[in-house]
Amino acid sequence: MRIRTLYKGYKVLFFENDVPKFLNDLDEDTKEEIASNFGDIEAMGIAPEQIGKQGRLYKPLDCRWGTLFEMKLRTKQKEVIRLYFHPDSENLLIILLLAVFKQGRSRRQNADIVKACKRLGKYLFEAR
Amino acid sequence: MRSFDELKKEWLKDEKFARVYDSKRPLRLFIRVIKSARLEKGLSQKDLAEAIGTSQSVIARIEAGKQNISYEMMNRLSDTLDLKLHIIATKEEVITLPTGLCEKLLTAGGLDESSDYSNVVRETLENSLEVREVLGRNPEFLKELSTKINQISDAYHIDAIDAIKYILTLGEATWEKLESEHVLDQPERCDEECLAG
Repeated sequence: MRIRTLYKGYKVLFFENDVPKFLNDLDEDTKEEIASNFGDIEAMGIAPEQIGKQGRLYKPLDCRWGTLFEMKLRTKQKEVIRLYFHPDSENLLIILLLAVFKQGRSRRQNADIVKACKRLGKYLFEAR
Repeated sequence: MRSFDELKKEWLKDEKFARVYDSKRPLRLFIRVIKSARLEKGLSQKDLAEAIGTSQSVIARIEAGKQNISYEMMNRLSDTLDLKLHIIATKEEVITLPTGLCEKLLTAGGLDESSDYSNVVRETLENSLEVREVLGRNPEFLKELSTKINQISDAYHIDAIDAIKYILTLGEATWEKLESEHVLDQPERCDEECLAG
């Protein structure tokens, strides 16, 4: 069986304001994990086996604008952070939203994801 | 929109982050080479797990950097994937590149941007404190470095790995020095001790 990776060679991009600010406040180990994960995605892509079932690295989340991938990380303070990214069609993996969820997702947090999806939709529309 | 590379460059200016990032570099590279070799062989995590007598979840944890890998496990993984394991400890800022990467680097003139290794090589080089600064100023660095490696390798009759070690162990080396061609005029600097790395 030949394994084909997804999104190999894609560049990781994100919206200017909120995401870098959020990332900058994280502890060094979590930043390292994020840097390493993004480096892997850019260099080797995501293997299908990394997507899907619970516990795998990137959880897919369907939305109106396609599939978002969720990267789940645990900070040193045992906080769970979830980072969503959307593969654009032009070799870009756009990072949408970073969220801190202690336990599961509240309605408000779901609303934030929807909001971020809309922002992505607007961006994609404007970019094309 | 902003790229992650830009943010990472900012982070690397922070000493605390740079220390954590550098300390995990050998493990990260090991994982990346293992994963890349597995994908090249067309093996799934489950296939690899069966070959070395462990479970798929262990391989998944290793590849995600969440597993503390023993030396024995490193050996088993390398053997199964036909890789050679090198572990070195050095006082110098030396980068050890696996042979496969060196070969790719040597052909960097035609280095395919989408190749599995190009980003790995780039990141490896970026992680060298000496090279990081230079790379920012000279985007053609990889290509030029590859030519330089060929020249040094020919001039000193040494293999590519040693040529790379030589370049990266030049204490106060900067790109200007490499570019000035003087590297080739100083054979005494590339002695046994330098290459022992």
